[in-house]
Amino acid sequence: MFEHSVYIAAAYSVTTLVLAWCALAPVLRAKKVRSQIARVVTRTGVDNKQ
Amino acid sequence: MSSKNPLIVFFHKLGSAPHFYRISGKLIPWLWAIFVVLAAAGTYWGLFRAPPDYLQGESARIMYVHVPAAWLSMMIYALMAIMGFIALVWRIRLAEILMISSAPIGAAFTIIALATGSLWGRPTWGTYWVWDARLTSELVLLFLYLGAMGLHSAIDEPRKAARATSLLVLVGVINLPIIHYSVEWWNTLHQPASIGVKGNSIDPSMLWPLLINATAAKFYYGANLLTRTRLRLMEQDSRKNWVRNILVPNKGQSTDGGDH
Amino acid sequence: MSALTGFNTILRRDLLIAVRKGPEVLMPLAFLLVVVSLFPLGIGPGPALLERMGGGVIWISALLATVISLDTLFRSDFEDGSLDQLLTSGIPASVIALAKITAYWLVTGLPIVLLSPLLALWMNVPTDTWGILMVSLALGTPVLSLLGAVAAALTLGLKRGGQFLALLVFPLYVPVLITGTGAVMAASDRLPYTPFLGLLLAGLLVSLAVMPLATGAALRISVS
Repeated sequence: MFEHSVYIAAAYSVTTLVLAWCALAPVLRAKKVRSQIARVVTRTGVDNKQ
Repeated sequence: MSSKNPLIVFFHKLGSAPHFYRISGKLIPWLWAIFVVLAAAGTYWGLFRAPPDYLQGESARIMYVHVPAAWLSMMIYALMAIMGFIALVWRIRLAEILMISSAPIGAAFTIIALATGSLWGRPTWGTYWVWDARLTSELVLLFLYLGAMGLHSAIDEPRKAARATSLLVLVGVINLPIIHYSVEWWNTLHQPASIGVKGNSIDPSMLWPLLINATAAKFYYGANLLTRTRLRLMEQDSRKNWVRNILVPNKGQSTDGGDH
Repeated sequence: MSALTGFNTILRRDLLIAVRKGPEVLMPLAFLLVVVSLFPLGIGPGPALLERMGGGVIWISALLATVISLDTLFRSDFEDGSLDQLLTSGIPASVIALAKITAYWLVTGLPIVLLSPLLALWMNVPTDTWGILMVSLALGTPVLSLLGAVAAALTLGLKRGGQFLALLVFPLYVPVLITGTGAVMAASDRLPYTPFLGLLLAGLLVSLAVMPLATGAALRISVS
């Protein structure tokens, strides 16, 4: 159907991949940070500012 | 606080971290939803409904991701400059965090613009890379983003890092139009044949998917920016009670929920 | 201390320090000579090719030589605390910056301008364009110093700051490079070169007006 479809597919794929990674990276890191902080808190309590 | 305009109160509260965290948390899903709808519509339109270009054929469909990405890459840098200016002059922490959280998103759009521009170039003009005005300016813009991100991560103290990065971004934004015009001019000096998007005479059937995708990209930026800003706030304030109360709500009923 | 006296004092001091340091100060120039000679060695000694590339090669090499020595602009004063003293002495930060940049250019930039005929000879650049080459460098190297100073000031506190400098400064240098080499190429193609030189001059004036202020602000941030 399209004579240039390889390039079009590549362009849209790159776009999707980069946008997806850029969107997911902070989400994954947030999970890690939340569990880190929660671990510290459950060990020492909320008001104990270490 | 008795007879204050609710809008002013809203913005004042927004500057405080726990309130911003809460409000942005509610906003983010909506922004993503709108992004998905618009991106789906724009992509479908661009890939299947819009006509092929008279000269370029089907490969012009790459324009529907390349151009919005390029637009966003520049818009985000301009916004970073504004946030940096606010941060530098008024020392508002939220402005500092919004600015630095924008950088990776802007860099991502710049990379997309470069990659899609390159892929567009191959079937259209025969080569993967050409030193035309747009691609060269995008490349320089990428260096501006990487420089800002690098400088910020190299300075340990967050507020000092933000001040230094703000200054760098401001110097960069003044330089950006100079770079753009000088590269354009340099191009006309060395390459008599004009290469690039025949920008001004775009048929409406091609303009619509472009605008829809560009709007979608802005919602993407909004959602991603808020996500990253919340993350940084949480990291910076990890020792403050408001963060701890959110993450472990039952442990220790601290009455002090505000940020200091 | 008034701004003008302060400027003169700092300028004289920096020049004295440079003179006392001796040969070490000439390292960037040695680098410049090395880089330019690498080009014919790398791309072949064909005179036509060298001539075509000459202006660009010399300009790029001048740029690189400036970049590698930029780190020294503020670093030694930063490390021994004299920068702190200068900033609290009442002299405006922008004046301090301008004085140090001027000294820096006199020691690193001006020699590049003076050496350029030799480099032009090596790159087979025709003698009737040597004048334009020197003028373009005379106008351009101060701009490179002024633009580079803000990057040097921002990277002061960093351990690997020097490496960073090139990345930060490259976007700023692109227009200067384009205009400078444009002047030389126009001259060698017998096309009007005055627009390019005019732009360089304009760039120099704007940089003189703006960059010391930005650099002063950057110094205050780095020292804080």
